[in-house]
Amino acid sequence: METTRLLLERCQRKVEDLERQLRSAKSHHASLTRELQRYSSESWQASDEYQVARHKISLYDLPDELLCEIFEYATLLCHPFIRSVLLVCKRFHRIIMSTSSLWTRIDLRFPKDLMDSFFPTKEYVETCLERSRGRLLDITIEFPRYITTTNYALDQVVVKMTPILGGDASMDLQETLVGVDWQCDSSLVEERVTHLETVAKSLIGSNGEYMLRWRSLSMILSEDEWGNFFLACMQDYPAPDLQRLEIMNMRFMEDWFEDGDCSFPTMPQLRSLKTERLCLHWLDPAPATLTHLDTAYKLGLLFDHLSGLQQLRHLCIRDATSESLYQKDPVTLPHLSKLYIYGNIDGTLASLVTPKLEVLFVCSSQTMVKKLLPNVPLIEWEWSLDGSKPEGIFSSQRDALGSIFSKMRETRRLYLQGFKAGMIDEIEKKKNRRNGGLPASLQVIEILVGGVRETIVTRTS
Amino acid sequence: MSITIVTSDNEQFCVEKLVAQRIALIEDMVENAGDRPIPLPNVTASVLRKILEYCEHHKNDPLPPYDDGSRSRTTHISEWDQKFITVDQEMLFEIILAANYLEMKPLLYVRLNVPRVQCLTACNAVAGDIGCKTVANMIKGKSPEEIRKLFNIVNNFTPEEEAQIRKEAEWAEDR
Repeated sequence: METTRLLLERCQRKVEDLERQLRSAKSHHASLTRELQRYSSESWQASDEYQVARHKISLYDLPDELLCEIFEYATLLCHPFIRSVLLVCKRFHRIIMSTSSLWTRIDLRFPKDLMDSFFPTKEYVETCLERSRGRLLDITIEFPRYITTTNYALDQVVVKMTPILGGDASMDLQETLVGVDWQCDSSLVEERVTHLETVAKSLIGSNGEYMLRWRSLSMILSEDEWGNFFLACMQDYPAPDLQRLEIMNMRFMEDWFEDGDCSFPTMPQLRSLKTERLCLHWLDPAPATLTHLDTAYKLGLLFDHLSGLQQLRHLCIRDATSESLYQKDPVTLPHLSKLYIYGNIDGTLASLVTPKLEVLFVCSSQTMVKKLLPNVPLIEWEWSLDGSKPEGIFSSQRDALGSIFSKMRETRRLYLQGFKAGMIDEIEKKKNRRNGGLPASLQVIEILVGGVRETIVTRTS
Repeated sequence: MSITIVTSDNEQFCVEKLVAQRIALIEDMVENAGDRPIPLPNVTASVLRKILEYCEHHKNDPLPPYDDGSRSRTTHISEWDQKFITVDQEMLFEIILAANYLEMKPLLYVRLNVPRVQCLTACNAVAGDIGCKTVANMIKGKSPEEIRKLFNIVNNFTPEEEAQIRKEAEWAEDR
């Protein structure tokens, strides 16, 4: 009985204790609920205010250095467009005026027709020279097609007379005028030519002082002998910091190919040269820094040069044909890592020894490769339809591909463009004694299908 | 192997290390962080999602096929990148700012382990540059007024100041 009473008392105490705890918890809960309501309300209010006040990021929020980057891209194709950006707002104006690097590009893109509007001015060149504050310059010049007054007039004969007489008769008329040594002296055209020469000369300076600041020069000469005038202006002064030189339309400058005294100024820093005609006397002495050469095959002259350009790393040869004249003794290019061949590849490959080659790029419509391909980890092969083989294109491609496979030795990766994807399977299925199928070394074949690079074969060695 | 990234709005991303290492800032932080999540207090989840989409797509990019080692910039944007960057203006600028903060531009110099000059063209392909190129393409060929309208910029020149600048820049007028 006593034991039961004690148990009852203990239970009652426990119940009272728990009831007290429950009341306290309820009270705390109520207090927390009130507090939560207050904070929730404040939170929603703050959130609303934040949403309203939240700033939408705009172009104006980008830091100056990113805006500079954007301005540089925006003026890439046409540097004089920088004027439009200057006029947008004070901040853009301040950034452009205080960033000398934005003024190191000078674009003299003259219209194709000498008499068209939007003609670059001497003031533009002077502005860039001044605002670039002594930095090295990257210059692009595109001259009009014809610059001498008579050549311009003869071109205009064809342009104006073709709608009236037709194309052939206009060409005949032009040839007749050339035959009788017809001369034109238009004061308006003459004035334009003088203006153009003044602008071009302002890039050189009266004593060649601005050529000391040339870092790169990319130039498309006119299609007449006027280009000789500009090259003659250049040849008297050195361009010690010129790293990249690109000159197109050199084929119209006959004097430069016939006169052994014509040469470029000293260019001890030249790293990259692109031109469709290369002559021995240009690069005398050949700059030891030249690592990139992009040029067209012409009467074997290219290969005569190569032996003096031992440091080449990238070489691009265009217009090589099976009839081209190649070196009897191959030239070793010990550092060449990338070789680009446009046209027939057999002659070029036979003329070069390239122990360090990493990539061979070929753009060709050649159906039969005769020479073994070099031991190179990657070959990129683009099928180029030259227009003469519209029929039987697929069988030509199949022959070409089979022949590429048969001449491949250590290549692990092949990237194809312009080929039909199913051809690889066809060649592999029809494997026989003559057609060996995929070479054993080949681990990956990629192909460009609808503008997308797709891997179609992956094998482990 | 993967790492965890936490954005400014507290969203966690579990990212393959190879993908995350395309981002220079993260690559630097991974070494010190150990197994701890990497905080990115300046990047929101929606922007990081876009950046990671870019990194994932470009994680195995090879070197560009032809580079003459000189200053050969271009405003060309590949088809995929073009699609990737087709976003509203606000997101476009967020991506540019984030790529800048994440130091995505110098990443390729380090990752590809080749001299800087050989990577100039490759670097043009990073997300930040694609953003800058996109904005540049939007600006290109437009008049000052059209640029202001496009980006909601206020012309804060006085008429006298504007006239003066126009006069100084007469070299670009048609003649």
